[in-house]
Amino acid sequence: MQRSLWKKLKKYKTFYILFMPIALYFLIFTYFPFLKGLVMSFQENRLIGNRPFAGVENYSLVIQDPDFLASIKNSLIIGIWDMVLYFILSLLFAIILNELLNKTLKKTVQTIAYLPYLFSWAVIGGVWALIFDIQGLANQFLSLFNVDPIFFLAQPYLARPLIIAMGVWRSMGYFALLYTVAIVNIDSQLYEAARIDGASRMVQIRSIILPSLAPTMKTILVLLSIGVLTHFDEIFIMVNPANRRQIGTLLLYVFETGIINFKTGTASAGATLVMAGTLIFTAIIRKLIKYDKD
Amino acid sequence: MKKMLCVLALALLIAGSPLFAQAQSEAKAEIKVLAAVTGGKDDAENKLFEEAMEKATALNISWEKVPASYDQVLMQKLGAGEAYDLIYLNQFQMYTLAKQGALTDLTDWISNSAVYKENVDRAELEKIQYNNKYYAGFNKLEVFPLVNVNKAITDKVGINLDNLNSLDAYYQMLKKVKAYMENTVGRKPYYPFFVYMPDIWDMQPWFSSVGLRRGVFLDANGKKYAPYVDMQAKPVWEWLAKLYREGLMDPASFTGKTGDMRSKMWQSQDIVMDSDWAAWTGLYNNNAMSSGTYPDKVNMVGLPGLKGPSGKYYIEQGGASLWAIPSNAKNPKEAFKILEYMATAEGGLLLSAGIEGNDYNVVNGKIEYTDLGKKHAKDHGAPFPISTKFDLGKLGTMNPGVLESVAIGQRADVVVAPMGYANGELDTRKYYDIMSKWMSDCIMGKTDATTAIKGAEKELRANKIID
Repeated sequence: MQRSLWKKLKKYKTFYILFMPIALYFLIFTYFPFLKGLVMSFQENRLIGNRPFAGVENYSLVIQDPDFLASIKNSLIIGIWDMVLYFILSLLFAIILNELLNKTLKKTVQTIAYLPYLFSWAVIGGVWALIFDIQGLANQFLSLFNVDPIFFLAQPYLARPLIIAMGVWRSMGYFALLYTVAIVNIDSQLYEAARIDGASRMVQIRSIILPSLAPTMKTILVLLSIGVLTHFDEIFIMVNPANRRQIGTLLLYVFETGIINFKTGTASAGATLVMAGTLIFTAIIRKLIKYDKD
Repeated sequence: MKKMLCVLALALLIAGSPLFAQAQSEAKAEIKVLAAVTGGKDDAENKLFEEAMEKATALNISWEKVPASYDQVLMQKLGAGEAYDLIYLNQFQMYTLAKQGALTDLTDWISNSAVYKENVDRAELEKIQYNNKYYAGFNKLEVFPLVNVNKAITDKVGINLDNLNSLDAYYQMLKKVKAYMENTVGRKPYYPFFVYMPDIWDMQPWFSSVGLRRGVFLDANGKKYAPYVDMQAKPVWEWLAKLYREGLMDPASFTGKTGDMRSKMWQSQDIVMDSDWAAWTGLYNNNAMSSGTYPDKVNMVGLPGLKGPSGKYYIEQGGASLWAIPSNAKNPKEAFKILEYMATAEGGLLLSAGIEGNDYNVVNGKIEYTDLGKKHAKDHGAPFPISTKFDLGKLGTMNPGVLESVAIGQRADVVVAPMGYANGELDTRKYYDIMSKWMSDCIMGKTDATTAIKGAEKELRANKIID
């Protein structure tokens, strides 16, 4: 047994050597900090020196904190809406894009849609403020119809839709690109056969494109489900006193507890719960979409 | 040859001896400082600042100035076990870290320090005590935010600022300015007042009218209470809501940053009144002077706000910016020397005017600023040094209006005190979040003042911020 393992290792030694830097990278920069965080979540809040064991006190504090409970609700609402909209809109966009016959137009539209993904959230926040500020473009447009200015950025009922829309605007092009790559790889003979059989374009989309995209859809759904509870950057940029109740998410809670208040143990407990939640949510999604089956 | 070998052997023996090793390590001991705002303005100047500090203290110093996200860097570095001898921190962080046992107790050192005795006001020292102990020393003397009004505009409207003696007088002033700017100047819509809402910073000049202060205090029985959620504060909450309702408060108060507020104040004159540091009265005017708008378009003056029922103005002193020695510091005694130097008049000059030969030169006993020095506006971390022996006049001509604003704090009818930290127990972030949420609801008309005050009180209690 040991001999055969050694033989295998020896046989593929080049691959294992090539794999070493990646494995080391993840061990040092991902798993080690994760384990350290996990240990810290069971320790007292101390930045320097020995951290005495605190049992589950940090978890108890976090679970009883009304802000943490509110942030679970906000994270789920924003995260699930984002997941659903990213998934559907980017799919629709990719299919529509595929139908464009003019190659230049197709590439231009694709580039424009992809471009926001390259911007940092700070830039996106600035653009959003320019549009939705009280004296921004949206209100200037509304004033043409004698509509009173709306303070979009501080209206609680608009807070979540704006954050969700911001994410969709930024990421739709990226996910559409993933779909586009999959569409391009569909065997052209399938279309040809369908055309001979007299299938309309809509039938081709329904019977060829969508089924062919199933593996990509599954991958994208799993990727999106991992991000449901981890919204932070866009929230950090856009949060203000008027919309905090609606968009204060779990990671904002962790950031403020850990960084602003130096409560590393409590923040680690919060972060561990976020990770556990993400694992459970992703596992449910994987099960629902039968990710592991062909 | 033999002689040479003997000399070499002797040299090796000396070099290898513990005595030499100790002396060498002492000479090389590097005092590691982690700084936020204090130091040079860029890497090159920071090196010069470090050298100036080394020359003054005869220590080997590494002055690491963090250009951005200081709190995050501080947390990460200390959490990762990196040892610093001196760290910059604010008052809230000092309480938090002292509670965690992460800071060196400086009580004896400060109490026995001749430098601190000669240079630091006891009253200032009392403000940074935690459980009757000192865990930090000063970076600078904290001033206070106060009402800043652009007199260039109010003069054109015909307003006498001396008559701003009630909430209604402020309201009438803002209303007149709005009408003037919108109807005569043609800048529509014009929102004349900006107040930074995220930290409810700083509405104290108007809450002074009801004699209440920001933060959480302890009553005689040791119970925590927050004056701003007392029903006595209701007129101020209602006044703020009226300002917003009538378009007198800039909606960007909820979403903008202090940088936005400042550029609106002096650059575009999009607002006529805000609440800002006393030093900013001068900085506004200085900036306007550079762009040729002072004093015709911009002429900022500082006002103390409103008198309370006791006949006094209650102004809030800024939370102290401090230096502490972490409990894992390798050279705490040497670090304290730096702390002491910063408390001297000489250290104050370095932290304000900057580095001699770079920011200024002394000509005939007077400071003459270089172009770079002028650009650095006499601020290298401490525009107002902590030393009572420091003569502000030494810095040369001050920015217009600043001395008058600072002098407000020395008036007999003005009480300057820090916000309530509940003896270091207050979670300021949570307090700000809760208060700003409910105040925003009230100001934006989503709820009335009574409901908002009660809502804030309930939430503060639920979060154990008050008893």
